[in-house]
Amino acid sequence: MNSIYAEFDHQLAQLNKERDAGSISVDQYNKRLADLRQSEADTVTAVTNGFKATAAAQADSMNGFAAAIANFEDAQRNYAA
Amino acid sequence: MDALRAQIVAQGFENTQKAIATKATQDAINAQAELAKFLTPTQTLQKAIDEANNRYAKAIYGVSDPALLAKYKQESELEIQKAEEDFDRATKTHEKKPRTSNAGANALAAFQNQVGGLTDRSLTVPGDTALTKYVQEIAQLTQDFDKTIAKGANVALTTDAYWKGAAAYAAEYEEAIKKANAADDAYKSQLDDQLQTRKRQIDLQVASIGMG
Repeated sequence: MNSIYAEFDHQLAQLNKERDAGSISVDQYNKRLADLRQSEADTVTAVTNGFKATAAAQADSMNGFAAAIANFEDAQRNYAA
Repeated sequence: MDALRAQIVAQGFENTQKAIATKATQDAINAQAELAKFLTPTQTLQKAIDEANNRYAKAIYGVSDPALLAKYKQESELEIQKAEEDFDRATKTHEKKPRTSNAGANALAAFQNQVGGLTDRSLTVPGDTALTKYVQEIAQLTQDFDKTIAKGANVALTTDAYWKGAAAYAAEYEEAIKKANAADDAYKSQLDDQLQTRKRQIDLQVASIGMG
């Protein structure tokens, strides 16, 4: 998550440079800043959701693995009996 | 697109008004309106001819006496001839004496006051290069108008030239706003692309875990 904030900080620094150089107007700066902030918030949400989805997928995967082991053990026990 | 264009023009006009209103006097704005009332020499000539023809048509209505008809015709021709002479005088690029006692001169005096009250700093719109350029161009145009009239040029013709120049600068400013808006849209689009790419990466990562 820190890398995301660092990435957007870098983009903000670029935007500030453009404003200071006078290559964009104050109105343009404000509009782009709002777009950048919104994009940052959307990215954080997407990554957070990604973490949750990854954790859920990993849990499913582990559950599936544990179930397979249990089935295997049952099969082994039945075979021995 | 028309709505967007109208919005841009309206916004540009509003920005200009905001910038100028703090720096220029209402007299200068009124002076511009006063100048806009001027007819060009061609328009003045056409108006005079139309009026002379109308008067002639009314005068000869119901008249059958050849002498009277000839008299009215001669009066009308003289009227048109005078209008043409006025046109010739008006379209000379330089006159020996500048006009000093008409509405044009009053409007010019207001312009001179406006320009005289401006300084380089007051012509800067902080944080808006395009608007600053536009305001400075209009001020320069006003100064040029002033100098041209002071040299004795025809007021009506110079006024025509002024408005053509002002329209060209306004169009240039509008174009600058369009370009700025396009650049802003591109910036937003780039941010959207960046977000979509990241979302796809996350989806792939989640899917790869599911596939084991």
